[in-house]
Amino acid sequence: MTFAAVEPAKPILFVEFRFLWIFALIFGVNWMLRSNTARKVWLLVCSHVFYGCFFIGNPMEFFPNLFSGNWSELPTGWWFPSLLWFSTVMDYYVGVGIEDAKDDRRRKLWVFGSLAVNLGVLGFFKYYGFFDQNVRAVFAWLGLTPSWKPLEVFLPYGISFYTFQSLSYSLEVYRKKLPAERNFLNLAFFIAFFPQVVAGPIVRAMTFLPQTLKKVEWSSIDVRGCLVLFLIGFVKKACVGDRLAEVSDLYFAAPENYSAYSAWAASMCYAGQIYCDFSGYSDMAIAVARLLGYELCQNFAFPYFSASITEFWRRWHMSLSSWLRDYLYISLGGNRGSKLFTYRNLMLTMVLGGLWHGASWTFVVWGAMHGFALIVHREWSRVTAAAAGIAKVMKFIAVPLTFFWVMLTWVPFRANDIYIDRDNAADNAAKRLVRTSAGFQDLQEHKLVYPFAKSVEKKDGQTESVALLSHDAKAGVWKGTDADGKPATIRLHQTGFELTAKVWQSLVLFKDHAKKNVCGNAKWVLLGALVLVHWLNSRSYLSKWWRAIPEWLFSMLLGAGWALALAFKVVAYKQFIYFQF
Amino acid sequence: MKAVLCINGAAFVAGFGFAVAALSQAIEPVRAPQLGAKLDWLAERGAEYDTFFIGSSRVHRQLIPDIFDAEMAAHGVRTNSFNLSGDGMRPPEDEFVMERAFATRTARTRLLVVECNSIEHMLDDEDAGTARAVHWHDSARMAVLWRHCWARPLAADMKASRVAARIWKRVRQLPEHFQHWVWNCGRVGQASEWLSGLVVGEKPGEDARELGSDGYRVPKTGELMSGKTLLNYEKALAAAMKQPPAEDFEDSESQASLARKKAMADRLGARMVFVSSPFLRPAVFAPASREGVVFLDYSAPAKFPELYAPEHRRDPGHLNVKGSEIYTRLVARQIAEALKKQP
Repeated sequence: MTFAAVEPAKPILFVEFRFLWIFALIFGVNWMLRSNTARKVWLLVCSHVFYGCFFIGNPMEFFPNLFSGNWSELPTGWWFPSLLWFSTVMDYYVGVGIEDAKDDRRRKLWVFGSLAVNLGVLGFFKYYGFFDQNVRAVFAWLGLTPSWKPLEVFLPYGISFYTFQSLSYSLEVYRKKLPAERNFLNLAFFIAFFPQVVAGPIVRAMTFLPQTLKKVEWSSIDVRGCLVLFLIGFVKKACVGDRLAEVSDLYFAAPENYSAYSAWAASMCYAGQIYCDFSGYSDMAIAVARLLGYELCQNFAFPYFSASITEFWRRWHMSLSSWLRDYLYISLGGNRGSKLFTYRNLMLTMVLGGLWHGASWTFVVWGAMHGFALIVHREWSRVTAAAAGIAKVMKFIAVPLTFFWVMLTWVPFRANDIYIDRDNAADNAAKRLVRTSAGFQDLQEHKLVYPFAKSVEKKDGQTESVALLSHDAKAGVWKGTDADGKPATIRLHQTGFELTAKVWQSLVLFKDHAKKNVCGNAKWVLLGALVLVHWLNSRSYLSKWWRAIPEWLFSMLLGAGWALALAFKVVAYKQFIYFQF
Repeated sequence: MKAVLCINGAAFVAGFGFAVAALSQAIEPVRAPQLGAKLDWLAERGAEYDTFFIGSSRVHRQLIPDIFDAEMAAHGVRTNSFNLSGDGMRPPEDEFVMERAFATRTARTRLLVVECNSIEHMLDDEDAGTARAVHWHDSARMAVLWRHCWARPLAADMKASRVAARIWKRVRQLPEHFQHWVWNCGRVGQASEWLSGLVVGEKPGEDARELGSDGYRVPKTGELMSGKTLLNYEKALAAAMKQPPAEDFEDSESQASLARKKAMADRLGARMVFVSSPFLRPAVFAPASREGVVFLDYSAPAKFPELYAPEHRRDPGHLNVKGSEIYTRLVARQIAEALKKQP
């Protein structure tokens, strides 16, 4: 088995202080440039440098290692940014090819080529491990031993997002909704634009490409709105999301140690965390893009206040749900057929949407649960359309009921297979591990404690990758040492499904697995306050007054707001959840 | 347009400044995970100890209080020591920690054993942005860093270009220190920690008891040098055996930092011991004035071959457990001898 010895580099987050300096430079130069083309070239270069930094780590270490041929010291996946170029170049030629094709057959060939290559690359990086694991399980069930060696494949940041984004371009050109973009710069800029390249929103070519044609004037930028939106995004992510994560991380590492009360608290916290994390990122991305003169699409619209699951999907990760609707659901036939045909399409769309999030059966279950709920809601709406009494009752329970279902579905979405180190179980029984592509990571501290391999210097000065852990398929354990040479035997403690079952038992049947509570009652007061602020915001009570005050006062309050945000943020940031997708 | 920008910018800074000032009055300072636990422990039980080791991992993981006390007792000196060090703790962070630990101390203090290091401007990549890097960035430390940028080098023959390069290297770190200072003033994350305390309750953290009640942290075990690291080390060791490192007084501010530590020891009525840890380097930072201090210099491998033997080292910069035991005994013996000579 081949393992990479060097961990992938750490991404740059919008919430980091260094982003402020990076953005100040990008922003300043962008608005100093007079020509639209020069601005696009500048932003394209910055976008690729920004994306490249996710993979190369410290340039002062990367480039000397690269040019001295010491490639084994380069961070894993350092060449992944080339995939973004590959996707861009290919889609450029596909677009032109589709438009220039003389007949429908050739147009189809072009678009199928684009689909095959884009989805092929995505499929290899995202689903190879999943596929291999399942084929091996089937082989083992048949009593056979596969002859091929498994590959350890790392997932490049943002590949799911930019693949969908570039596919939207080819599909729209194919559907003749958009002319092929013959200016390579515009297309490359659309695909790589840094605020959205890693975690969306998934911008459509139809909405973004026209923006690249006209020069934006600084006077048309809503600076006040952008600054407030960025601060809101920061607060959502760094102050609320990361703090809620504390409760959910504690609980989901070992639900068997906690009460039913804890299951409710932790599940609600996770629902809050994933919303704040992702919508916070989207808010910051939208604000950053607007400050540079470009509009990205809205990604969230208070989804937890939805009165049905159908409405939830109109308000949650809107750029993905509309993509799935337009390019998958409608392509499958949509609702142009029998009821069963429509339901099949709904289910398929949601299951594939689940798989888009990650290569695991738990994501399939998550998607299937949403598909099932969408079907039930359709039927329910049809059956109760004429019953006014039911509508009155539903008015009161629809929102909590929808939230409850969504919260239940977050459980498999959040559930990981949990491992423990048997050798060290006595002295750190609470230490739970989760498997990543680089090794086993501590669930609490989010640190890689058992890397699969490490690089070791040889006598001749070259480095080599030495495996630290090997898989003993018979015993079903990973054996070896940690990075410091301490022996380790890592075994699966519970699968994601076992964990899901335990949490559901607590949520639905109120089963206490133990008496311990993950948090105190004060949490409900805080959650209540957060929900209230969120609700007031959804009613636009909080979004107008700051536009009416004088500029100097606004600036002063913004400064005070940032000081408060810093005091309330979690000191060490957590990575954005959606970066892993 | 420019005037509006200036007014808005000033208003932003004023709003930020007022809020930060209010927060710094209302909220507890930022607490570093490991060192914070040690300081809490000392606040509670500090009177039990009379000897303190202060420094980086070369003290944190290499000076073992139990062994030190036993060796001192064997030489007729009774001590009860505590290791108040942290990995990567160098000046000016060590001064901050000493101030926090000893500001109100009245109990008898016999020895302050401080690693002799010059001021370090670079923050560890791993620590940058964390509570560990934020906690010591107070105004006094910012003043030290600022003065250090322009401090007079004490080497007489330093070229102007080298002086300029040194200044630039330090000045370009200032924005990062400034960020940490702002965060510290604004009590970054502290309101959130308070809320978290309300929500989750006491978190399973790393307190002083987990570190051992003497503050010592065992070095990583099972590590010996190998491959090219060992080869390079052996080469460098052979060269250093022939040519011991020269003394270097660095700059006026680093010397001033040593003087402040000495003044603190004087105030506590303790004997100041500066220790230069055993690892290979071309020059060793030393105190320019040795009046009233004990300076133990372990930088010459020819004088202390057992500390440099590869079997006693975890890596070129650190001793392993066996090496640490030898080192601790040696330090204790030499301090005991120095105390006998100058009681």
